[in-house]
Amino acid sequence: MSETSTAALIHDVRWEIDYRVRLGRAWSRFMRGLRDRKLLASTCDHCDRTYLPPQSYCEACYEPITRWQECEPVGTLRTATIVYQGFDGGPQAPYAVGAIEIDGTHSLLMHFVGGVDLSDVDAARKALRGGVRVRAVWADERTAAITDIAHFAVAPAQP
Amino acid sequence: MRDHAVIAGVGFTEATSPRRQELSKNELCRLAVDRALEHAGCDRRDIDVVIIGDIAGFEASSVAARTIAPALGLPPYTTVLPICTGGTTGGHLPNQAAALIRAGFAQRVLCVAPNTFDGPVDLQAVINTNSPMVMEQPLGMGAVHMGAFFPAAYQERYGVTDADFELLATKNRENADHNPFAHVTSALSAEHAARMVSTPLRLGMVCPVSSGAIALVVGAESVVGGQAGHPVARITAAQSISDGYLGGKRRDFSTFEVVEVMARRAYREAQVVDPRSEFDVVELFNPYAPMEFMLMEAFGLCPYGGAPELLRKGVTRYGGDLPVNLSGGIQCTNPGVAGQISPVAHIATQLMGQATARQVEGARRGLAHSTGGTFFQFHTATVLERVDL
Repeated sequence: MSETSTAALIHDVRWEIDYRVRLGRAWSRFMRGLRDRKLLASTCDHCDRTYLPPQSYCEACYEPITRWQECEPVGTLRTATIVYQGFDGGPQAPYAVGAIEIDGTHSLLMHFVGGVDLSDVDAARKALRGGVRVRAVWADERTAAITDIAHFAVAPAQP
Repeated sequence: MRDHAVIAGVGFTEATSPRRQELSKNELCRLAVDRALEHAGCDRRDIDVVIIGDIAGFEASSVAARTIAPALGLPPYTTVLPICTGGTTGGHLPNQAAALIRAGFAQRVLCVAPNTFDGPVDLQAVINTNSPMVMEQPLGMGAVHMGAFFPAAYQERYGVTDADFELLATKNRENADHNPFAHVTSALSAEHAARMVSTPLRLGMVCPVSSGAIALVVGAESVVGGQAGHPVARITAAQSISDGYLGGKRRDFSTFEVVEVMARRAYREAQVVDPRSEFDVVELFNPYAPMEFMLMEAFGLCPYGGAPELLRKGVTRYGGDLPVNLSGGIQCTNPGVAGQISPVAHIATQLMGQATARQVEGARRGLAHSTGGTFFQFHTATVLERVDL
């Protein structure tokens, strides 16, 4: 005899779907630059705003952008968070992520921040305050992806 | 004749953890709709348009509005408008209803905010599809980590302490104790609440994943106003604003700059001159508790950096003259699109004198805010005023 129950049934539904995303001209050029250890920004012909990540048009004045330049991969950390609880499939916590203003640009580049001991949360938070100078550390294996930069390392304090 | 849009009926379902939810999405929405229609004294056959919120990719099938709409018992051929902004969808529903009513396109609009966070087995994996793929998504940033950038910058700029954030989160959980539709309450253990997730956010400052639905009946004031048998909430401002897509477009994470612009538009529309003294009750979207401080400041309720002091003085608590998030806010209950509409729903019931949580006596005017999307790309503001008919 079958069991009679009013408890809600739950069925599993699973999709396995892969996507292909076209990066477009500006981001393709940017990512290929990273593979060659070059950090490329684009500057609006009209208002002189410099974007990194680069864009082929200006979000501020909507003019097309044709000027490109290579930036020294150094900048200033504006804000950071130290992740103690990550997510499945993500990096192993703890790790730090920051918003970095590359010198000479008018946007922020989000990236991993390294070179700081994260085991002591209070000390790590002090070390990752806004205004700290950082420099890109290139990944050994580069595939024209944002992770061709392994992280931005906090510059050692000047003697 | 152009008419005001009013919220005449509000329907909540009890919020639970997704594990404990026994109703299907359609059943849950139907329950919220039945309650909203009954509250408004409105017959479902009189509904002109139904607006249903959706978050693309958060369901096992695309555009859940297609399956929900036929389950609501509405007249054949009712116009169905799915709205999906990928963030703050719920906040857009009453604002869109107000636009349709003010334009004379509809007289009675049903807004349905479904539970949208309880379908995915791994919600974080789905939320990650919402983060800027290719450029920022590979960098270990889930929703909570993106949310952490704002309080981290705010704290640094204004010298706000972790203790201020914890005091705020505790205030909201105590408010949720009085809200029968809340999910997390002060029953949350102190040890649990203190666990660091992503600096400066601790677990007690971060919203849960909840299951629940909310529906509203929004109508033309001259048509539905007298039918409800209770005061209704006139929508005197309905605004929205958007920010850049990439996180790096924010430039400054220490303030919600676009909210200040939106607030000025909303106050002009609703003829609010001094928001600090003119609002009796406020609900601000706070999936991460510290956002409440930042939003109070962006909405001009106090000077920048001044919100923690208002909390410490008791101004924003129950009994203070500017109570904020008496529902406990999103920090305590977050059922997705239903969470996004909840600030409007809670303010509406406050103005009707039928608050879901503790009632502010004589509340006449309230502010409801919602936000969402990657790095809070979208915001909405709704100003509501009590109308006795």
